[in-house]
Amino acid sequence: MVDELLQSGWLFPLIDILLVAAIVYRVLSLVHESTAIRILVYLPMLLAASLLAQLSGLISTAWLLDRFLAILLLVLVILFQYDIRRALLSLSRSRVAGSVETDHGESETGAILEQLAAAAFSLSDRRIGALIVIEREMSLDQFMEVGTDVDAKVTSEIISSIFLPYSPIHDGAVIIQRGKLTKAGCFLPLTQNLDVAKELGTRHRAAIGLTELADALVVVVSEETGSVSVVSGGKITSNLDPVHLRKLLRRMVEPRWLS
Amino acid sequence: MNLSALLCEKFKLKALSLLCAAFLWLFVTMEGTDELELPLAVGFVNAPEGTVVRADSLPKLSVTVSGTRILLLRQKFRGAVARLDLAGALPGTVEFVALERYVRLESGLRPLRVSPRNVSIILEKTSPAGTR
Repeated sequence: MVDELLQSGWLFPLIDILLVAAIVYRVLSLVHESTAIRILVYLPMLLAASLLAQLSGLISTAWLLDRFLAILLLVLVILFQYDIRRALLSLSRSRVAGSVETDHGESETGAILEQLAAAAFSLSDRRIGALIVIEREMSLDQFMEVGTDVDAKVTSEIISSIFLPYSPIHDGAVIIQRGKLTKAGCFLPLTQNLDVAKELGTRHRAAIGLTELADALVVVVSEETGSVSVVSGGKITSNLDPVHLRKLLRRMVEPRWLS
Repeated sequence: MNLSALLCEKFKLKALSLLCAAFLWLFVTMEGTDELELPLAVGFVNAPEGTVVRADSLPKLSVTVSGTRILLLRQKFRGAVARLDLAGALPGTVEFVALERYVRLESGLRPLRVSPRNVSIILEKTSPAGTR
């Protein structure tokens, strides 16, 4: 069969097509499947339209499509900048997953999450705003450059004291990595999503913004209403009571820390 | 994981990637330059009144054209024509040299060579039978 293909002159074009298909697939696997499919539907259509325009002598249409194809890569980067950013960030996923300390037993992880929930509701009762980020598989190192090193055990008292209004590091978010409170006063990227409810303030927008880019889980305590919310994957679950918060944290964090 | 499971996983994305790669290959191939030999038809313009070109005096002509494959494909459908200007020609043998100059092609294509490069045609007076 290879001999036949070699003789017909189709072997190398076939290898060429399969290699390009593999590269396209690998690159687009990094972005959302729906985004990738949109790109993959439009790109062949544009290429085919350009060829047809040239074949049928539509000079200006062919010229326009040719110029558009020449800058297509740039256009794709602009159109899908958030997906690309998320994809690039996800490249660090395996590094963190491989370095997760697995010495946390189920009971210890449960205790950490319990402290976290207690801190959230203690702050909520006093109408003190808080932003608590829990790293899961994806590294959050690039969001921690501005923060202050803490490196402490996660306790309700420490978290509460960080967010007290007269604390010098109460502004920004605290970050919990591998079961330890590693940073405080970190600034998170705000969401650019215009569909986010207007009543949500900067703290909630920062939580949504971060979770759009990373797989982290964020607990937000509203300063105005005292409501406790959990944000993951850009989606917010608001007005949680202690039981639901604990359940949610156990379901969304515990399996990742114990894996 | 067996081969069918590997193929079925994200099948839509894989199939579209293959389609995209095939179109890209086609596009790049068609945008590449090549040469093509085409039969060359000849058209005469401005023939003096009362004269006619003897049909058997014209040899079979061909032209080699260079350009992008897509334009060559288009030219192949349309065919290549050389327009020979007979203005001021007298009955007898008329010689045309460097026929590439007379070949009309799609913009973006250029004639590399015409075979034969020079032709001589015989211009005859039309028979007076039909005239008063």
